[in-house]
Amino acid sequence: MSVPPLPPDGSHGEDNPLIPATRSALDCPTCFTRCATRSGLMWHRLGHLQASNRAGERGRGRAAGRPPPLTPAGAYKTATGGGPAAETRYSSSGAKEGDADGQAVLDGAVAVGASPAGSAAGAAEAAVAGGGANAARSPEGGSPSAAVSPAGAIGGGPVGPAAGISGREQARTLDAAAAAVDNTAGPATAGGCSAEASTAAGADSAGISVDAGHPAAPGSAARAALDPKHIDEGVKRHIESLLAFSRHAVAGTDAGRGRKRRRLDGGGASEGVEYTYTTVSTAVQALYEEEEDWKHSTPIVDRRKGWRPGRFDSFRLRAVQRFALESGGGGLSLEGIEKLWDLLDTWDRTKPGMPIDGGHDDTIRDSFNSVSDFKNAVRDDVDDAALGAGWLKCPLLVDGQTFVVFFRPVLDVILDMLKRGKDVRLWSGETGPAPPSSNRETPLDGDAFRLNEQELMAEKKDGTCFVLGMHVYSDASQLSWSGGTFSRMQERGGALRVGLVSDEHFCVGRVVL
Amino acid sequence: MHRYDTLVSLRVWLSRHFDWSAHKLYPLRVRVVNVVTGEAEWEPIAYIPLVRKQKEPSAEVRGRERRGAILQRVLYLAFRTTVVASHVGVLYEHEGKRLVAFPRLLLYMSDQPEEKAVLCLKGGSCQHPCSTCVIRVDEAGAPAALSAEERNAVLTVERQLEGAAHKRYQRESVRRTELEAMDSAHNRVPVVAGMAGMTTAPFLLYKSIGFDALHVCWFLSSLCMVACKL
Repeated sequence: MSVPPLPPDGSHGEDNPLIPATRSALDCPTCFTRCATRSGLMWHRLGHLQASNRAGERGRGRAAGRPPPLTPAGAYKTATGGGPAAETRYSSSGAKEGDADGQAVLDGAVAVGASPAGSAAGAAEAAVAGGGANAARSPEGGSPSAAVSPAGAIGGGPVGPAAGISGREQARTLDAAAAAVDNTAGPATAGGCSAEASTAAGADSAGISVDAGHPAAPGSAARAALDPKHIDEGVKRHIESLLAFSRHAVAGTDAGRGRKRRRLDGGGASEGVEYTYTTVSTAVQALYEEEEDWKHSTPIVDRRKGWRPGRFDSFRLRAVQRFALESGGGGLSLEGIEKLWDLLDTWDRTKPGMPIDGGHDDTIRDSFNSVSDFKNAVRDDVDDAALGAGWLKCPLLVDGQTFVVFFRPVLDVILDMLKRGKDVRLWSGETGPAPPSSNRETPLDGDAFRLNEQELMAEKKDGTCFVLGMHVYSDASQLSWSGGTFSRMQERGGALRVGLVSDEHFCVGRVVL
Repeated sequence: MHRYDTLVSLRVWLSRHFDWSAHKLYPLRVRVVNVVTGEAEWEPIAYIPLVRKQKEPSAEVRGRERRGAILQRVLYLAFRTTVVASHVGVLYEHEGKRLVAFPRLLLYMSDQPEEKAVLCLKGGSCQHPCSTCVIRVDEAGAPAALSAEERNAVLTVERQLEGAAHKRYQRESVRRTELEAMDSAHNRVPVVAGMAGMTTAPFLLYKSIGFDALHVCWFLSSLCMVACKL
């Protein structure tokens, strides 16, 4: 059925003078074997695909996203015996030591792929998931930014204007691409990876992480997820890779720019390059990343020289500290007088049930030498509390004016709340997502939570994933404009509102709207 | 330090640096619905400065612009890591198991001015005054409003992105005005749109916002009184 293959350059060699130097529709584009019939060509090309699929080249086509099969080495050798493309690829990728052939590389890949994530072999696993043989090949040092060349997105999915791509598909594509870069930028590339190698790595890993129609590889969600111990680095890497994969510079940025410069728009037009993005959510992130507010944020307070927190180390001293913190204003109220009584009762060691600790018999002078020492101790504890809670401050420059804002990363807060929570429910059902219902006993019964759950499980297809739902509540501008102050009365009002809203949670918005 | 003392300390720290009687900051709080305690535990995550208009030309407009920009940028600072985690997940150990949590914003409770500010929608008299649908103002209250088309999260935010880009580069002023009029939205981009589940499936951007019950109480009661009189 087939004739000897044509040389790749199209010219006939000296040993095959009879083969014409022309191409036919029945020639295999991979190995230039000429087949007699069209069906014969199709069967021949299927042989190439099977060989490359076994070899792990699964970034494109129907095999994209599926993990490489754990094929025995002998089986692979048999299957790829006639696959020149696969042979070439693996022999070149395993050329680090000079004598490693493709078979050895593949065996190593399969063995490492079965190792648990997070172990020492995890680096190699990431390399395998993202074409690690290539990553390990290059001797020069690589960087995460080098790993996110735009060409790397070819295997991961389409990168272009948002038109024609559904939001979900876009998000998947980019998430997968970012996950791929996370992998390549991790320990696997610590030894170095060239731009070319990391491009291939990103493409392959993107294919393995997420796929539109097939279940993701087990544990892929965990590999792509942020590590709570290194959230900042993970977020930075993810954003860098996301932007590198998904944005394209717009040509002709100056088109249509008005002549007048309005002060209202912030004092002048931006001179930066304009980009387009593949998804709306990426564009939103990029827009606010360009403000670079995060880089300007600092811890909420600078520690005093000679900073010594924690000197209120006895029950009596803590009572004094609490009094110092809570009193103020124009004299003590009735409630304040009650607290003062409580303080004095404690200080005299006469309060019923009070614990006896090391400072039970100490006087105030035993703990603090002077009033300034006492004040510094209070201040250090206050600063320590603010810093310990993760509070940051950031000056924002808006329209020529600077405003200082205070914030802390929500992710840290909600993870801390999860840790402290005694009764934590991961899913709306007992062991997984429950179907929609009309019950409204907890926020987990709400439509918003269950819709998010359904979408997440449909996308990830991983039993270890769950939705971490959160509500945000704001004492907003209307409250501030009402003339109220941040006093105990306002706090009580806030608690009352919280109580009202938390009982009805999602329905509140629905009823009103 | 005990958690209560921590909160008190923070309040003391803020009161030392800011005059509360001038109420220059207002807090933003968050809770996690997966933690079932029977009580609502709200943790403060940000203190947003209250921006007042100043004595300058177009003071009202510029003050509004500043308020909107400050709110969005504070939200982004606070939710920056959460936005990323909502797409890629964050590892979480639970009873010895290694799980992946995907944060989702289910509800943002605020009053109506902040609702409009968070979603970057126009809050005054405009063609599409509703935050969840695109009913025209002259049809609001009519039977046609019952079958009004809901706001398309992706489309609206895409227009806001385009408008924000034009605004940033100070170009296409006619197109900017046109974009604002299409959805009665500002040429500013809501940060919460970056969270997964908002402009990706299940597209809950305009369904995740809720009024504070007390803030609408007067409105509902007034409405009831008017209805009774009619």
